[in-house]
Amino acid sequence: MRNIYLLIILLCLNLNSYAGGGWPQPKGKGYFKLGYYGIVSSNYYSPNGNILDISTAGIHIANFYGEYGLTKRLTGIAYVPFFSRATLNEQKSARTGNVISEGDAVNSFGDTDLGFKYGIIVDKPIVVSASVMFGIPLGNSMGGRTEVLQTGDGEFNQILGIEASRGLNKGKSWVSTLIAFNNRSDSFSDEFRVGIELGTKLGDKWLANVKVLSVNSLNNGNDFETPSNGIFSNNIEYLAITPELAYQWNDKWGISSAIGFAASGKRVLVSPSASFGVFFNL
Amino acid sequence: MKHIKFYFSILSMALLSNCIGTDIVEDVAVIETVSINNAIDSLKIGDTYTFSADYFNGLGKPVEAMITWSSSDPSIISIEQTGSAQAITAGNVYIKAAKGNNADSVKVNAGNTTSVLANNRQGTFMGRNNYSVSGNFSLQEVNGSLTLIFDDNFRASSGPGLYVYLSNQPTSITGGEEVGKLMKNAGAQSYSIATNIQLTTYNYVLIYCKPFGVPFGTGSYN
Repeated sequence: MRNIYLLIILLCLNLNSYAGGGWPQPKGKGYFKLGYYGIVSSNYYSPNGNILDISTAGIHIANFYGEYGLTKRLTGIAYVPFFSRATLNEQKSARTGNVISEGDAVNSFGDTDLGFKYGIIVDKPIVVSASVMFGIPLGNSMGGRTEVLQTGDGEFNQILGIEASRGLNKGKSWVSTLIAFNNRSDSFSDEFRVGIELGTKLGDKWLANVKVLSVNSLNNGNDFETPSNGIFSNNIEYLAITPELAYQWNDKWGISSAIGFAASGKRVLVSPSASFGVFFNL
Repeated sequence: MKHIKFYFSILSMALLSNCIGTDIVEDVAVIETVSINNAIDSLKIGDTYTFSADYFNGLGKPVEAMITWSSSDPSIISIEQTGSAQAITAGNVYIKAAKGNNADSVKVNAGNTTSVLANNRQGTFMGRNNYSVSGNFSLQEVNGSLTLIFDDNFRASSGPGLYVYLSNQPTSITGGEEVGKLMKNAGAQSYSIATNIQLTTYNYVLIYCKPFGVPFGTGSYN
């Protein structure tokens, strides 16, 4: 049981993920993480996946992520980006030194996710859970002087997901799979997501995992009516590969860091994202 | 608790250090050009007409320059260095405006009437960089004022900060003129053009994502 509980903790490390995989939190237990996520890029995947040069754009998010076991099977989940900063570099002519285009920035609260996970199959070698997450559009979809910077997409979405997980190697390793449907509103296209995660313990203190997530648009929205800036755009698609490393000081405290690579994509920034955080197990 | 304080310090430093940076943009190489901006296709014998031309420097910007005027047959239409031309006898000539090795010319008939070239230009949009931009447009001159008109069939992909530019580069706004923010992504719309711009000053209309520096589409004249 201890190993299973450890696995639950380990799987709770990634930002914006269905942390914990198919395992719900035990009743009265929880996982809480204070994290940072950032990406800065001067390249962009065009609508057909070619890479374009763009003005350097970035987003930096300080966030809180929490899971709490309400019952043996039901877990409450919250992702709260309490400070989001989107930036756009100024452009200067190499020949004249003149400013071609001024830079811009916006700071605000970000789009927030609230939801639940329910354990359908628990206490088995393979566990399965279903989840529903509600994306609350608390961010700014038209920020800055240019009104093109975004800390949110401005739409209310609902993500329905199924996850299955299994412990391996006597509980020292694990594998989780994800299938999810993102129902988006306001003319945004819906999304289909699939993912897999492999992880393992490295000694007593270190943990490593790699997550592969594929996000695919159903292209059933209206491209003419939605805003876009590459992070919260409509019809975005990508294949993300995110290795992560975590270190636990003790049973309660630990830190983690991850780098996310977009192996391919459409309408998203090209450069790797970085995230790190400190987590606490209740 | 000391872990939390330490972590908050790191997080604060990370966020506060994310200031707005600067991108140094290599300027697009532009060929210097001369463009006659008030061409006519015929000049009545005995009448005079003053031609004018724009010179665009290596940055694509129209700047003041000494233009050299010439006629392919001064016995049919003569022209002074001020651009003032006079039709003398019937025939066809080429009027040429030059600065150094760069030149523009127009064929003019000396005959019974003086007629200017069409007072509008029409064109069609095409997408760039896998963005969809389509439809027809025209640049119309009425009483010396220019208006850029997009037809009902105009469509453009949505994007952040889309602007309309006039340019002499098909994929760059270097040396071009900003017309204004794109009013809407679909349907008819019109834009007033600054008074210092002539019908033939620019040869392309660009739909351009200004904040991120990406051309979405180019309109070329027919």
